[in-house]
Amino acid sequence: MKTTLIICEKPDAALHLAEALSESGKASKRQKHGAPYYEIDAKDGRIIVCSAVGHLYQVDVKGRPDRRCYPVWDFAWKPKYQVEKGQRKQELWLRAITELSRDVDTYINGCDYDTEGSLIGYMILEHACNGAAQIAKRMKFSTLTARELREAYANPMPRLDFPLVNAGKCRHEVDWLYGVNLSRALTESAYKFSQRYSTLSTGRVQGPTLRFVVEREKEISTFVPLPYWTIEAIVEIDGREMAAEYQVEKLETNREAEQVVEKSSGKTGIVEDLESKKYHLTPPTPFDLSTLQAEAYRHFGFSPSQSLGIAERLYLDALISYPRTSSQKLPPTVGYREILSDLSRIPRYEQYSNTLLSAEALRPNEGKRIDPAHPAIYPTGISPKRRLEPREQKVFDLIVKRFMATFGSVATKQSEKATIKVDNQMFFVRGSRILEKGWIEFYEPYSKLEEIILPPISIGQEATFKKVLAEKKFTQPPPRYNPSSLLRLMEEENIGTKATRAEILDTLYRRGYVKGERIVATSVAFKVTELLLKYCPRVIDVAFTRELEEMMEKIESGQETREHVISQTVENLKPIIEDLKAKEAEIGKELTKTIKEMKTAEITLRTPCPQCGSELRIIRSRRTGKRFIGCSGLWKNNCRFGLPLPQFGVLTLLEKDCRECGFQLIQVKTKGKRPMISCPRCFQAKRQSMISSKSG
Amino acid sequence: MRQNCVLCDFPKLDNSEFCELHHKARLSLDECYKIWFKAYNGELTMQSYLQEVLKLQETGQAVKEMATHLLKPQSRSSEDEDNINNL
Repeated sequence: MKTTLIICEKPDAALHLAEALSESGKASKRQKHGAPYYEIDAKDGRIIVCSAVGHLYQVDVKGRPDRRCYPVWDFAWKPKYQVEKGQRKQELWLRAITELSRDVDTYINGCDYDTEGSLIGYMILEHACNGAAQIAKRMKFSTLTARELREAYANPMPRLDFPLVNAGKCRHEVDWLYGVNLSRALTESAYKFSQRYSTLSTGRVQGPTLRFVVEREKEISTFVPLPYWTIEAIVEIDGREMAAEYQVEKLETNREAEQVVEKSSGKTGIVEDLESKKYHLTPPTPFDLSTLQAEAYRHFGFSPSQSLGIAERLYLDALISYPRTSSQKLPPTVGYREILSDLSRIPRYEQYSNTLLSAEALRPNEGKRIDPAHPAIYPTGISPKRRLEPREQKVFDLIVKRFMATFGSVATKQSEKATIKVDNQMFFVRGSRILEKGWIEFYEPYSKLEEIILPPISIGQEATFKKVLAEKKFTQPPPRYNPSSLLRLMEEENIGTKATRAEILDTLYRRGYVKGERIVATSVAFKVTELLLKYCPRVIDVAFTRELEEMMEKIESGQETREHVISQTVENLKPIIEDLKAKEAEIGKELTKTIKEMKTAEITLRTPCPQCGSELRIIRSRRTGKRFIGCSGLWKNNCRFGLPLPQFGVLTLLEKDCRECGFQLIQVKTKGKRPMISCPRCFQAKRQSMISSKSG
Repeated sequence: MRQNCVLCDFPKLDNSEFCELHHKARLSLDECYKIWFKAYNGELTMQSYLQEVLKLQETGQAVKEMATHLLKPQSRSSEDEDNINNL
């Protein structure tokens, strides 16, 4: 009997595939060394479906690794459990796959169809399945629905997608070469000078991304606000008061503003002109990953990596199509009517789906971006089989509504403008009304149209200026990036990939280079960027990074080879790293000072000691190991002021102060839980009152 | 030996006593004074301008540090005084 082994990317995907391929729809789950797999007796033989748990192999130093040595140019792909500590599960997982791969006739890579999925499957087939990558087939699918999975199994590609595999391998190898050499150069320089270990990192994409933040920070830091004046007027027409705007939005001088007020205040003008204009709002384009991340951030405040994680869970539940896509296209083959008809079974989407289904033809408003591997993100129409968590529910709703909105008709609005003349000056009263709601009906509450209905106004009518005020304002500095806008910038500049950008932002936060929702560059970020600019400007040059990115993209289409890109990378990096190594002492000195300052700032509170006015700091007791807030005036003033702190999670001092007592707030973050924000002083007060009430 | 900026620990530029950031802040302050001067109908001294800029929350940190530095009488060069007098 013929045996087929299919490797999936994740256990949930393996379950969906096994269920889709078994005639009963129920696959029998088995386990080997703790790794689940499924066996199906199909018409054409036995099918074994097993899975990876993401990447099981990674790049590392060739031979015996030395974690502190650099530069390193020789690398090899190794099982992850050999490179990272605590990966016993992965070792057993690989052993299970190797054992399952014996006596198999056909091998199929059933991982997600993209660079990473192609690489994950290739590595397992090549290294754990005795070189089976050379004879393996490739399944291609965009959703985990039974229909699509069966089709992908019945019509696999005859060979693995080697250009994608090579592009994936090359990206990991290039990133490793950059990351390991540059990061070790920084970390070792600081360590050799201070004999204290602080992890510093930079990389091919991380460096230029950090530079964006630092450059913006410089713009904000050197910003001088400029004064200007606006005119705020209230006019009365036919007994109704309404806001009017002056013909010039911003007046540059105080005198001009005063003159406008003088000429119009308390005067009566005449309606000189009436204008109305219709304009159309075209439906939004289907979601690609970055627009989904931007919308999820805008409406729910989810970071790009959170949104990606949620979308991946929805994909693994077969609720949406593959989310790591750059496409804004929805080809008819996805089955618009079937999806809408399935969605109509979910009560909250019933009415909207039926409205769309009643249309003669369905045509989505596609965007320009394409992705050869996948269409845009769309709901599969399958109803959730489990109760979705609130955050999953939000993203799911956003995706469903966006999908429906793309099929909606154009929305039409009418704007109205009445021009009032007073003492040779023009003021405008504006209104707007919705004529046709179109696609907005499907996308509410994520899009809203507001109306300002004007009363009937006619030319020649009198308008009395009840109030005219000149308001002094100041120009604003450029806005700080937020995770969503920074991700968009990375995409526009073509650095990183849709799969890696969100992770790079997380690394910037983890390393202490940036902080806050409105991203602020820390002093270490300034120092690292300054040093890189000074010693190896090419490393953080966006154009250079983009060039390398384009070279790697060419591997996918066969226009470039992996070997050439790697040799170019080594050639470029070698002189840079050697130069950095020669200047270790100088770099270490500069870095150490900044790190020390940042670490002190991280533990020093803004709020002074309420007893002696000295600085308050987070202190860890040498005796008990517990952390608490203590006063730095202990030795000088014998001040014994102290406040308890939570002993769990990562503690951060926030910029905000307590509304009750004005003390600086703290935040404690524990993995998998929502951050806890608390006021140490109020906590202490409550605790004391509880103790005294108990004892009383 | 390389010297640092008079306002921070970053190295100073060759043609200035300030680092790149503070030098840029200084240039911005000078450039914007002309606009402020015009906006207030030519009735604004450099000192009042610096004091006003310091009060605004929109003002950048490096600019605030520079404005504070310039407001100290000993830190104003004769060239600064000339500039103020000329405007």
